[in-house]
Amino acid sequence: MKLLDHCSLKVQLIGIVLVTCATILLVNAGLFALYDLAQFRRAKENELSVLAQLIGEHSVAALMFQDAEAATESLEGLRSIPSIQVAVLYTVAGYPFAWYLSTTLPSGLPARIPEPGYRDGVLHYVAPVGWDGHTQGYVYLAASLADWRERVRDYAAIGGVVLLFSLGIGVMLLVLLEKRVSRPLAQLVAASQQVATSYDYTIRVPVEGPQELQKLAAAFNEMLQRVQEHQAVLVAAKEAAEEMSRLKSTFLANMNHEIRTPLAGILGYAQILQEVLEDPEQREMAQIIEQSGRRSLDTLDALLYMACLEAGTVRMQHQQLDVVAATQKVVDELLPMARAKGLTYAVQSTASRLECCVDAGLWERLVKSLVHNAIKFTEAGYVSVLLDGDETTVQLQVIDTGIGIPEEAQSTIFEAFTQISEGLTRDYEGSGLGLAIVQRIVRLLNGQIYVESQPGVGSIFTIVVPRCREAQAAATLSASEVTGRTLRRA
Amino acid sequence: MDPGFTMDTVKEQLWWLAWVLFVGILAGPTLPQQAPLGEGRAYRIKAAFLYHFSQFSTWPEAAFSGPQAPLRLCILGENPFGEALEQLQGKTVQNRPLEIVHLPAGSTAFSCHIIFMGHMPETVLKATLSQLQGRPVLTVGEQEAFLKQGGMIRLFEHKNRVQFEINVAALRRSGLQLSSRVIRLGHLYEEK
Repeated sequence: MKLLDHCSLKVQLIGIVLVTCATILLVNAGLFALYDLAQFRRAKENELSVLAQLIGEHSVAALMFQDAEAATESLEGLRSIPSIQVAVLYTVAGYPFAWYLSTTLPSGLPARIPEPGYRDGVLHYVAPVGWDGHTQGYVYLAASLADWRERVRDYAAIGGVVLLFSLGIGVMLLVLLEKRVSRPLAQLVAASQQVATSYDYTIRVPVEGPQELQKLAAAFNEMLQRVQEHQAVLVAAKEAAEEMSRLKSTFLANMNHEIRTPLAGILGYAQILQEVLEDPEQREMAQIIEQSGRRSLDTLDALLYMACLEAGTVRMQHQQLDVVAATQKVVDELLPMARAKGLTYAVQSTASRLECCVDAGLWERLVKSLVHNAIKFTEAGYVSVLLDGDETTVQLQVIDTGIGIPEEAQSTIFEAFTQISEGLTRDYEGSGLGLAIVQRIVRLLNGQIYVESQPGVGSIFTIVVPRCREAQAAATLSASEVTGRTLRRA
Repeated sequence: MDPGFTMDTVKEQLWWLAWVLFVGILAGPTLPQQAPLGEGRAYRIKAAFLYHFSQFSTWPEAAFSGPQAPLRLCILGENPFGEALEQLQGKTVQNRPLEIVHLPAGSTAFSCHIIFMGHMPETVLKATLSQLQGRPVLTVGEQEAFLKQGGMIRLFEHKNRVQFEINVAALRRSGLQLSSRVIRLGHLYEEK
């Protein structure tokens, strides 16, 4: 069967037909030979019975008058029948009286009347010889079935020729007719291979051949039609999306410029006003203008950065970076903000140096966003930054005792423009872009981010980033995975 | 043919000969060719022949008084068979019982179907045969001149065998029918 699997459909078809035909012919020939043997034996038996009767009629008088010479003479007449090997007349007492033995006889004269029947290719026949209602003796005839064997040999020779001839015709017919099946299949195979290599979905297969193959070809064509349509839709959608994205980037860049320029003016003059104005009330107004301007600028920055991340236009230069120092730098920058709120604030690291292959700007942005967020949402207690590392990863944890995040919100905090304390009262300023940016950066670094939080107790943000580029590849698949869990603190 | 085969055949034939001799001694009558034909044995065979002649002969219906009437085998004159005739006692011929009748020489034997004529003077023989002339009676005898005088079948011994001679013309005259199977076996006598 294994061998068959290597053969083409054509060869298999021819093989199947040949084997089937040969089997049928051989079985037929075998059955015919058996039938012929039975027929032949029956005919031989009939022949012998007639012969025995004739011999009996002819030699009964000789038997009764003990004229062995005459009896032998009449038995000699059997010489003209070559298949008769032995003919013996036995007396009533069962002793041989007269006999005829053919020259080809191997067995000799049986001294007593042999059992009738078929033995060793020889048919033994015994018939009583009667006269006047009494049995006067017995005729025994032995006929060889050798001529049957000759006949079988002839049949076998003829059968062999017939077999070869019909198989030859079968193969010829098959070769002619087999194309009806194999051609459509070959076309299907060729078409599917072409589609697989060239991605050309405009190919169509002619629908022909047996019903099943017609259905297959029709289904194949239908499938290609669908794929073609889907592909067209997808290409259009992709082009539209790309166009949209390009438009968005251009729009953002323009807007950035258009908004930043007037804001610079506003901020500059608000600062000058604060210095120039004498009246404290008016100075406060100018200060509010400046603060509002800064917030607008921050939001604009975040928005722009986010847009750049989304568009993939952020420039990155991954290089070996000591994340402990980099983190410390960012934390120090935000120290005044924490101090103002009276929070305990510290960076702890398991090692004095942790090397990681990341872009310094991305890392700083990441830490800044997380720590800034932590300080912003914490009114009392502490904000703590932990750094840890193993052979392949670097782990950053930002722990706070702030307002926390309800479990149902933990899956949405990474979406852009989302703040949990939504609704009419927004207690906290901010664009809601911080965590969205964090998540996108982590994704760029092929890292993972987890959040554990309990409302009113605090939050822990954990970021795991692979240390080097090789390890990043392995983590790519699950890079953007975000898991939320409720934190239980002792 | 290979020598082994020939040897086997020769051996078998020797065995066969030995066996035939052995059987011939035990069951003499069945193989007359091999055993010497003694006086008693010859007459036993002749008695059997008489019976067999009756089996191969056809008499006209008128020869019998009825369908069950016996077939009469008459021994005319001197009986040379002795005990040998007893083997025929109780036999049937063509569904008729065989009856054996002893008659003195010279008696008229019209009621007989087969007559065996023992040794008798030629004149008596001649008279009896002419008496039976044209009647459906099968006449069997042994004398040299039996057929010449109008007898039908003469038994004689030749080459250690009992053989017989048939006068077909006499048979035809009698209206009897003797099967051609038997005629084929016998020597034919032609009347001059």
